[in-house]
Formats: sequence, structure tokens, C-alpha cells
Amino acid sequence: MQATERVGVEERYAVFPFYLCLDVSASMAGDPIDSVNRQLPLLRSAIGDDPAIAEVIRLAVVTFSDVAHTVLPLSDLSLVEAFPPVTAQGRTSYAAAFDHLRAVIEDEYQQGRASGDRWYRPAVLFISDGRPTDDPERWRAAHRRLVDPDWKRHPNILAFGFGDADPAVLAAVVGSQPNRAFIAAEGAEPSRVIPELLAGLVQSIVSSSASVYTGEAQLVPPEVPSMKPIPVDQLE
Amino acid sequence: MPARIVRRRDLQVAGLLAEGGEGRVFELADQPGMLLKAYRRPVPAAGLLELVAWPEAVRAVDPALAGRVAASAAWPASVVVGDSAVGDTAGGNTRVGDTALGNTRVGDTALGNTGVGDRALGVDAGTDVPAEGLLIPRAPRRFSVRHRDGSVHLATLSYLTAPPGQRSAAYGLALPAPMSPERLGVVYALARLLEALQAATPAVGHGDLSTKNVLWSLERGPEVFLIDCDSAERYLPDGRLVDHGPRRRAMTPNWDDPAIPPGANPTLASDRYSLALIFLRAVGAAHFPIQGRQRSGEPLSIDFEVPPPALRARSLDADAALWDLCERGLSVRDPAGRPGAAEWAAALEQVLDDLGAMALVRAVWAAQGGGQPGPTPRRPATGPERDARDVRVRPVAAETRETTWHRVTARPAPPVGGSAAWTGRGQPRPAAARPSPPTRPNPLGPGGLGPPTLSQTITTLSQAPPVPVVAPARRALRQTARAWLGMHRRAGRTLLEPGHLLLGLIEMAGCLVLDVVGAILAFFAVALLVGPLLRI
Repeated sequence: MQATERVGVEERYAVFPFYLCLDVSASMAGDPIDSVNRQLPLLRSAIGDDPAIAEVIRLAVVTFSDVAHTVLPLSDLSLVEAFPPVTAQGRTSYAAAFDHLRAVIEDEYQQGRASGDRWYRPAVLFISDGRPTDDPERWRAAHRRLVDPDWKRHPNILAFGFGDADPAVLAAVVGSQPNRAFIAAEGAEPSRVIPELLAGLVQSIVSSSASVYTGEAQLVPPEVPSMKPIPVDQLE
Repeated sequence: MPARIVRRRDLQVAGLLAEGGEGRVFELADQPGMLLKAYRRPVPAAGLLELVAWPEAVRAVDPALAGRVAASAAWPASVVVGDSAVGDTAGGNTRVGDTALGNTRVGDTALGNTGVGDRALGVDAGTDVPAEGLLIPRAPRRFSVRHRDGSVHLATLSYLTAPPGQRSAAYGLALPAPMSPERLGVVYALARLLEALQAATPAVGHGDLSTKNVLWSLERGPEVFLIDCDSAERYLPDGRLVDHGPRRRAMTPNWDDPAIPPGANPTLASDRYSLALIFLRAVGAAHFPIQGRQRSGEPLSIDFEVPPPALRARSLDADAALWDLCERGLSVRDPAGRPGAAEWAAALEQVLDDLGAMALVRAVWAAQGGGQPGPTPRRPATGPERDARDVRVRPVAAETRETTWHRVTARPAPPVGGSAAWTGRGQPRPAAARPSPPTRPNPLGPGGLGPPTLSQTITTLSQAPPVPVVAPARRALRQTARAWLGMHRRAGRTLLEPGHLLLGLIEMAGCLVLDVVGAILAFFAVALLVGPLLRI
């Protein structure tokens, strides 16, 4: 039998990109954003300090209020020096978040491809503590562009809400698919919710990284009763 | 020799160290070198007792082999039982020790005659005494790595299975180059340990030789430390399991044997696959993600990079035994033909000898119980049937790659319009005081997508951004000045040393010549720069 596939040192595992998309509107100011700033370094070290996890995960951090910013471009967390502190103010433009993600994901996919990276379908971890302040039609249109099935890099979205977040809106953000949106119990303190949420995200990312090695990558949601992992395809 | 059975209540259980599917691992306050692995559910003690007693079977074959296991594996030392399991008839630990430790008795037990094991626990034959856990040696401190930030982590194989430049940028670790004698030495140490596991009767198959279970160290020469040995299985000479339990043993994804169907347990041949895979990845310092392809039945052709000077060694040329072992070891079509660890140990010893690294071979022997390596006969590769194999491995000259890994220092988003007042209760924490590397244009392009941030890139030189000029020039100037000053100081000191007058004068003359040449060059440089301005 003639051997056909040549394998050399250049060949690497495909990577699983995660986009953490964080609401930093004025309502997040104070305890919630403090809590986020305390938790993000723990997320960085939980993933970055284990080479077996870090080498198949890429994480970006995007914040949004009136506009969206890339606080951390898609990175191997083992190479990330530190997360900068994020500050909160402004309104809550879901449109800005979705438009930004649409542009960033495509750009970073192309960059990764140019340097030989192979991607699994990216996951967006969308976190908000309030309702969108922009016009519903505007943010819904931006959302449609983000999840457009004709766009080959359209991400899977998991959404997490607390505070004044609207369950119906979050359900729409995840495309009305079951078991992809999570809402904190009413009245739950953000300072308690956020550490649990970030810890859950760490667990989700770590479990998803393990699945990469099986050759059948899965986006493993944080452990919640009746949650199922979502099969993830590898992009062209 | 530790007691084979201990009672849980006699242990001074301290902090929880780790938690997994099988159970939890605790430190022991009075035994810092040991750990308690407490199972979630009690398991029959008889099988565990036989595992604990197994090193005696190795010692019966060759005491030196037993030394390798003692030095390089977290072999279960004692079975931990609850208070009710050890009653008056057993009479406590001493009596149990007496009955369990006789070699012939152990031999009987190891071959599946559980009557003796039962008698050792003072219970009626056929009764399963429950064990709550095991006492296991703790990995010595040298099997860990310290990251740049001071955190300490177990030295898993994953540190070795990627380019050392990445691990340097990520964690500040200085790891040996691919195909270096040190990396070969680590795999050699593992092969010698597995040789001991495979040589005894019954033989032992670990079943999950993966990144987290094979720890390594280079502190005292190349060493390995194998953990999770309590999941190992014992095999009769005909390949049958000694214990036919329903126990499910999963291999770690990415380190698993593609010849094992999903849901099935690993076999003795799986360890042989693992050894070949570990050689590929740890010595090659690369991912080699091959199992997916192998599971789908594709033949594989592996280009294994070797530094050009090393390619001249007989034990590394295209027909060398080493590549033959790789091909047979990674085979999915013929798992029974995978070579044993003894063949690997012999071949790696030959390679290390050819590379002038017999000191590392001796260091491995010294760490694994002593003894001296003897002359190893050179093994030829097997013949033309290599072409028909499902895996082919060929050495190729390593390419020079200018790949770099950059640490990412992101900057916070600027405040949005209006006042930048912090509305939170506390003060915003300042960014860590580190010198910022130069920023590059925002790779995400214009359009309000955020402040410039360093992009994390794995770049080759052809893709690298414009090379900075000013900073390297300043550095070069500083280094030149330091070298000039150092030379003159040294010449002066030599001149003043008694008995070194002539040498001092020669060194001074050398400095003078350099000064004159430098002055002439400086004169012309200034003339070139200033001349056009003065129209000379």
C-alpha cells in the first residue's frame, strides 16, 4: 500500500475560537465590573497555564456599550501577558456588538488561515445585564448578519443574562435554539452570579478543548441540568 | 517495606490535592512522600492487593528491573481498607503482611488463585473485602516545571510536544531542541521502565500512557515518572487478562490507540503504540495529530526532521532500526507486530551513543536503580516488506524556520465619550508596570474597532512586519562600547600583573591598532556626513 498523506512537524491541531462578548454599559459599573475584572485573570490562567488546553483554544475579549472594542484579539492564552481591567459606562448597543463580531471573526479567520491555522466553528459567549438600548430592527438586522448561514464562519452563540437582561431577547440572540441561553435567577446579586458564570465558562472551554482532541469537537455548554453539547463542524 | 494493607483510620489525611472521575487524592500529614487515592466507591481489595504485590514478580525475574519500577513509577504501595474489613481473625497488619509477602503465594495470587489473597485478609474464600483506596508514592518535586510567573505545575508531556520556542514565550521555559539527546533520553528512560513492566510474569499494561500520566524531568539527567498505575492491567503470557472484570479503562483522547474500537479497553499492544507516539511527539517537539487519519484507515507517511549533522549517524539514516520501530509501533493494521519496549531501549541507546551522549545513558541507568549499560549490538532494520506498511517514517533534514511567538499585551478600551470618571466604588487597577513593546497598526483595520493592540501572531520572516531599525542600532552601539571598554580594561590589568608585561604590551598594542583604525573610520564617516553640508 502506498502511503499518501505526508505528515510533518508543521501540522498542528485545529483550534477552537471563543469570543467572549461582554456588556460594559453603565449598569455594569461597580460590583459587576469589579467582579469581572477579578475573574478574567483566573480564566486566563485556568486555560493558559495548561499547555494541553491552551494549544487548542483561542480566546478573544470584546466589550460593548455604545460601541464595541476588541480588548484582546483572538489569542493563545498561554501567550497573553495579562488582561487589562475593563471599565463600564455608556448604553447597551447589541447592534454594535454583533457588527463588531461579524467583522472581527472574518478578519481573524483569514489571518489564522494565512498562518496555517485550522479553525473549528467559533463560539460567541455573549454576556449582558440589560436590554438593548438600540432600535430593535437595528440590532436584529446586525444579528441576522452575524448568524447568516451563508456566511461560512457564522458562530455558535451561547448567551448569559443577569440583572435586567431580557430572556426573550437572549433567546432571540441564540436563534431560539433550546439550551443555549441562560438567565440568572431573579434578584441574584451580580457579584455572586459573575464568578459562577465565569467559572462555568472556564469549565465549558476546558471541556470543549478536550473534545477537540477526540477529533469530534463539541461546544460544551456550562453544566446546567438538561444541557446537551452542540456538535461543531470544522471550517473549510 | 510498607505494610500491604493499612486502615483508613490509621492515616493522617491532610489536604485534598486533586479530584477526578475515579476518586480523590489527598496528602498525608505524616508521610509527605505518599498520597492517598480514595475511590468514590469501594472496590474489591483482592485485585488491588495483587497489584500492590506485583513488583515482587518483577524482582523474581530481575531485581534490577524492579528497581526501575520503584524509581520511575507511582506504583501502589498499600491497599487502604475501612475499619470493618480487617477484623480480629486477620490480627492486624503484621499477620496480613506475613501471608501476603511470600513469593510463591504472590505467584499463586498473581496467576489468579484468589484463595491466598482472601486468606491474607483473614476472610472466607470468595468474599470480596472492600478497599477504600490506595497509598501511592507522590511524584518527586523535580517532575514539575516552574512558569515565569512562579506557579508550579506537573511536568506533563505536553510541555515537550510543541516547539520549544512556544513554551519559552509562553512560560519562560528553556527546553531542549527537537531531536536533542535530552529528549531522546526521556523516551529512553520511559522505554526502560516499560521494558520492566513487559518483562515480568504477569506482564503489566498501563493502558493510558498520556501527557498527564508520563511526567518527565531533566534535573538529574533524563527521567520519567509514571502515574495512574492503579489502572494498569496484568496479562498472562498468552495475552489474556489476569482479572476479567467489567472495568472500563478509557484512554486519554489524543493519546489513544486508534486500533482500539470506541468503547473497548486498551490492550498490551496499546502501550506499544503509545511509546512510538511519545517518541514522535516528545522527540519531534510537534503535535503529529495522526490518530484521526489512522482511524479512517488512511496510510501515513511521516517526515521526521533530524538536524543535518545528526543525519550522518548510522543509527539515524533512512534504513536505521529506529524508523523501523516507529513504523511498526504506530501500525494500526498490525498491532501484534508493534515492537516491545526492549527493542526501543536498545535502539535509543545506540542513537545516544552515536550522538556522543552515553553520559545521558549512564544517568538514566543511575536514576533507575543503578547498573551500567553494556555494549549494545547494532540491530539492522527489517527488510523490503517495509513498503507494504500502513505507516512509513523517514528522516528528513530539519528545515531552518524563523518562527517567532510573541506575548500579547492588550490595552484597555478608552472610555466612551464624556467624562472618564470611574463610577465604581473602587479605583481602577493600573495596568501591570511592564515596559510596553512597540505597538503595531491595528491588525483589524480602521473603522473604530478599538485602540492599537499587539496582535498575537505566529510569524515566519516572510510575513513579518517591517523590521525595526532604531532600537537594534542603539543596542548594537551599546554593546560595541561595552566591548571596547572591556578590552582596554583587560589590557591594562594584564600590563599591571607581575610577569605579564610582554603580554600586556601586546594587548595594549592591539587596542592601539583598533583605536587608530576606529579613528580613521570615524573620520571618514564624519567627512561623508558633514562634507556635503560644507560643500567640501
